[in-house]
Amino acid sequence: MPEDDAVLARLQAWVAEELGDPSARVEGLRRTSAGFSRENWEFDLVHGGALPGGREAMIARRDPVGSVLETDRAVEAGILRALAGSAVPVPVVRWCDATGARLGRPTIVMERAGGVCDWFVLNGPRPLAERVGIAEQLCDRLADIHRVDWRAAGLGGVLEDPGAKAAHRAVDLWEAELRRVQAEPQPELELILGWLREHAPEAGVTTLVHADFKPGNVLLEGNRVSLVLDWELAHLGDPMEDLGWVTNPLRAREHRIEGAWGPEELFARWEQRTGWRVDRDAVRWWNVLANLKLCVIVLTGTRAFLDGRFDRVHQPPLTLVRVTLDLMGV
Amino acid sequence: MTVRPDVSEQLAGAARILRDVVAPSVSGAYPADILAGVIATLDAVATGWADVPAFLAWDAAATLALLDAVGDDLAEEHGAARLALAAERPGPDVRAVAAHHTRVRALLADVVTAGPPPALVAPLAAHARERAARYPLDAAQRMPGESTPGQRAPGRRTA
Repeated sequence: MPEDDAVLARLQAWVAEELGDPSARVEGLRRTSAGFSRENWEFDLVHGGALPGGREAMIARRDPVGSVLETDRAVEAGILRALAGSAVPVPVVRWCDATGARLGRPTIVMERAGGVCDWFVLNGPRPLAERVGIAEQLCDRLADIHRVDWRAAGLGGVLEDPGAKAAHRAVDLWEAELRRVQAEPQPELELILGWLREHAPEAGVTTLVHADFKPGNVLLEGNRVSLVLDWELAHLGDPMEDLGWVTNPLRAREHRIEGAWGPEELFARWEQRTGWRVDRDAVRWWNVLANLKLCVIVLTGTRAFLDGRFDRVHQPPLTLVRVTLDLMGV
Repeated sequence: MTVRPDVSEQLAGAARILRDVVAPSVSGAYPADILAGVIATLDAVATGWADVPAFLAWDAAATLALLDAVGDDLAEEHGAARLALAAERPGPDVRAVAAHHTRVRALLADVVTAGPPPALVAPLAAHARERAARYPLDAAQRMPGESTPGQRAPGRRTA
């Protein structure tokens, strides 16, 4: 049976059981190209209890056979459910199968929201004032993530609190992933790991961290940031991690507007919205960690490709290494 | 190259066939995106593969020179390994060149993991920058998750 037909049959059975409606139908199922760490299957759900018109727009995000990221769908669904109704606009989770019993691999089914994803919106054709306005909203949404009362939201039961040692924990995590996937010696990454351990900062506060915040992970309705997507890497940690991620100089085309929006504008607005101070030395350390993380993600994709489980080829992360060494000042 | 079609011609030709014959018949967004990536990879390898052996040989020799410069500061076993690798003569066989290169890189990784001699750090970083500049298959360097060039126009994405 072709893959699309197999997914359709199993998804049909799943939603019918969840709804208690044997007549529920999955229509228009299609795999989209968006989404590199998960398979995205869009479809319409037609059933008696649906909204007027009898049709709901849905998306199933299934773990691929191989990926650039290996994460836990139960954790992601737990975070999304905890954030429902908060100041952070997130997708609505309908069902989660963390074991893969339903579609063969772990899957979250969510309501499909409208909107446009534009990785490079900050440097696109919109007028400057509109682009700056979007950059400010992105900053505000990031600050809102950091201001979530994660204990009250119940996230303490879903995520581990690393306390002041968030930086050390991040190095441990990404080194373990490197060891799991590396296909050849990586002396430059060993040098970077040693530097990170030697200079790891202590976190001043523990917050929710998105860990992959970027224009490519939000939806826009007009000039409004309407939804924050892709929570698979989210965890508790140091908010400087997210600031280090979005100020990574290698990704300036995504996050900066020349002459109008850069790290200093971001920091000032973030400080104003959160009431916390930015630790610039810590942000620089997290810049380095961000690039180590990207290197490891590339190598994870390479490992999956070599194993025949991933459909894309990534070249070795030589440019990432170069930029990282520049940030380290060596 | 005396045997036609040579490797570059075969790879470039395969990319052309995929682009001109297969791609127009691929309608699904996902397979079309993947196919574009395959074609980009074939084009890159067609252009750069012939320079790979020379790159590996240069990288191994330059790395051994880095280690030689700090030879007195290396642990005894690392110094001995360096001498053994410097004595290797992999010859023209590409697989032998690649195996020698991997052993040299493994030694450098061991030296760094053990705590690199301070005098090694700046030259190692300079060499890493040179590697990035010389790498012969640097055709489609993209951020993880970023799609094939030409596929990244703003589009509808949903959650």
